[in-house]
Amino acid sequence: MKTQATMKALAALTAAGLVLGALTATAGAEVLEVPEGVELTDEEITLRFWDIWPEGQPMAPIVQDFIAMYEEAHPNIHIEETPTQEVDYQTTKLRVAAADSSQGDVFFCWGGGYAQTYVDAGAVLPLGEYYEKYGIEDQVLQGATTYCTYRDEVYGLPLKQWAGVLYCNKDIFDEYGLEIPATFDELMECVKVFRENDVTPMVLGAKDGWHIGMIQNLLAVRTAGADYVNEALLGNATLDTPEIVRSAELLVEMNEAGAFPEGTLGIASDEAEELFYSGMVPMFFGGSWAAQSMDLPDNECSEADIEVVPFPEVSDGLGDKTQFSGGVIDFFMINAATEHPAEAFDFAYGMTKYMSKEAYILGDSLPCWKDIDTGDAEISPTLIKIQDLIQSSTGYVLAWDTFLTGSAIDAHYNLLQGLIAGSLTPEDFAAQMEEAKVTALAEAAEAAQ
Amino acid sequence: MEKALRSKKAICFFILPALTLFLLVVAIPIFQSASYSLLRWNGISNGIFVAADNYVNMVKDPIFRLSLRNSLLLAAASVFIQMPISMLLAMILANGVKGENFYRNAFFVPVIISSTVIANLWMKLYHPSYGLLNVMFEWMGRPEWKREWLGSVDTALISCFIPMIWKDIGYNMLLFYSAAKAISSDIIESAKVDGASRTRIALHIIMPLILPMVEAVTIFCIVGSLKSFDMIFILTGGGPTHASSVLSLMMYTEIFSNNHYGYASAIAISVIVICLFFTVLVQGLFKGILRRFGE
Repeated sequence: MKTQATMKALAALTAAGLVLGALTATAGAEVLEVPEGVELTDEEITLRFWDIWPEGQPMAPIVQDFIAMYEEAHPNIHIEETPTQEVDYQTTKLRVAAADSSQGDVFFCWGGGYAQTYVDAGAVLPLGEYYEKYGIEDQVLQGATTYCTYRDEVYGLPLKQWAGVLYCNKDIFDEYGLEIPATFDELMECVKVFRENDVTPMVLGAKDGWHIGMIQNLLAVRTAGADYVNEALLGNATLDTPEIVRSAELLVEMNEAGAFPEGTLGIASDEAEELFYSGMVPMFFGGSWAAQSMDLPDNECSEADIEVVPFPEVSDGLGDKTQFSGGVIDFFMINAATEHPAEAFDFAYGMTKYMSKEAYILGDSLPCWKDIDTGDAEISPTLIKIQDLIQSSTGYVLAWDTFLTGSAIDAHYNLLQGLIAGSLTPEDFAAQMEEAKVTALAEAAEAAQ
Repeated sequence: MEKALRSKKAICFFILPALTLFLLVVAIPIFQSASYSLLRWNGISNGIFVAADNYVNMVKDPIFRLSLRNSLLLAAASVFIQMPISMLLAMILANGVKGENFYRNAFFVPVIISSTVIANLWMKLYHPSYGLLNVMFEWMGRPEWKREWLGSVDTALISCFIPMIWKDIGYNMLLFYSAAKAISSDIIESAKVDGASRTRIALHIIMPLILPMVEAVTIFCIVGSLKSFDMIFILTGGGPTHASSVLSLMMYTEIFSNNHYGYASAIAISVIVICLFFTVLVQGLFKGILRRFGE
């Protein structure tokens, strides 16, 4: 179970985390080298590779490039790629396929609570033996495998990591004579001034529950502290505490002060984020994956001065601004039913390292592998700002919807929407969230037996 | 040939392909769902037999009751709002109006457009900031009528129903229209000779004669409403806080978000039972009505 993973390891990831010094030395063609002692077949074989980057996605060319490189280096191994749109992949395709282990030999999967069902059902290959052969523990940042480790066994290759930050359009702040907020009270003052001037202060597409979760989850980090939230999500402590209630209260306070777009419950996340990219909204609390959009010339915000800061601190909160939401949650995993485990792992290993570097260059994510050589490539300036920001981080908490399992995720979304709709009190939110978490953990434990 | 067709072996031979297909894609999956509905199962691990627990939990589940209520409301709206409008349009067109072909095709256009496109169009109409609806109220000087149409618990359901009902009006209209057009012109001409007005012809000649089609459309409307999924999924995803959830959407969420395959199968079986119940009920009602007209 993921509960085996210690939060201390995760904190260590933070510390080791994304230190720029790690981005040196090797990579490139090295990802195609087979380590000594590893024998790959000479027979003609085909590996099925499932991912979430269909044509048109920025990551798609990276995947295709590596497949071409790999097939050239291993002429007898053919890769049959099946890209699927992310939501379909997450909600239906992988779930249906994993029921009879018919997913790809190598497949993309989210760790934490999401993969736990598949691991418990024996649909995922344990990778301990291969980790040893390839010496992976020394190659990845500490804590990078925390959320693909279940019952002390590692099941995935970490692809990238993310951190949640507050993107601020400094130009709009300057226009209204405001400073970037460092505390929650200052944030509310900014909200007030922006609203008085008919400016929507902050992005939120509450039609997608996860978008509300991004803000509430971080508020919980501020009010309860990262360590406590991690323990509570693992099931070792309760979510029904005054601090979690306070996080919901602050969210409601923001909503009632008009921090979010009008009719936010009817607006999808991407539609809401577009408001920031088009330079209409001054604040956006989002993941580091949004960095690339900040720098896209097509987006009007690329012309603006975008500041990246931690979410404001909450007075008397147990967490501070050195704690972030984020972590490593994207992995490549190997199908337990694959006929070619060694080759599947070799391909996944190369793909993971290659993508980790290329995604970083692209501005999509922060790498979680050491010794990545980006050469002369120009890294997204916004992503570098995020990297600088989190160098001194002291704690991370994953988004709750990736940490939790099964029915607790849907419950989380609905409870968050209830807070925004005003149909649920912060006290009920905390109590019902705890109840949903306990139920989901019990269901997961029963399924694992 | 006739002798061959009377042979039981020949009958079996000819129905075999259709029967096989029916068994494979309808009957067997239904029986499978029925058996899954007795399990507590996440769709991947081994299921645990829980007898009727899923059904008991379903009846107690407030989200199921809300979804059932919403589905039945949609069915009622289809029968009592969509069908009368379709019938009215069909009668007007069948009575012969200038530009009959144009109107018939125009009303049918929403039917041929994908639900995804229609849902996206209506999302734009409903948008709280730049949506046509709110902008129109602003122009009319009635800003107090502006709403967060899809984002409010109070208006999300009705806002989903409107495009769903609007979309299929043309389909039902075409069915009524074709049934009306199939009536012998001699009957209509006789009524005209007897001095019947267009309204009387529509009400007392055409409508009774197309009752079998009305029966079929009623069943389509009810069953279609109970199975509806796509438009609501795109417009609100069943939210906010389940306010616009319907049975199919709840079933989807239970399977693909909550990993409750057994529970979702129980919902699927309940949808089948409710559809069968209404089909039998409507058939019984229309049997009585047709008998009365026959007398």
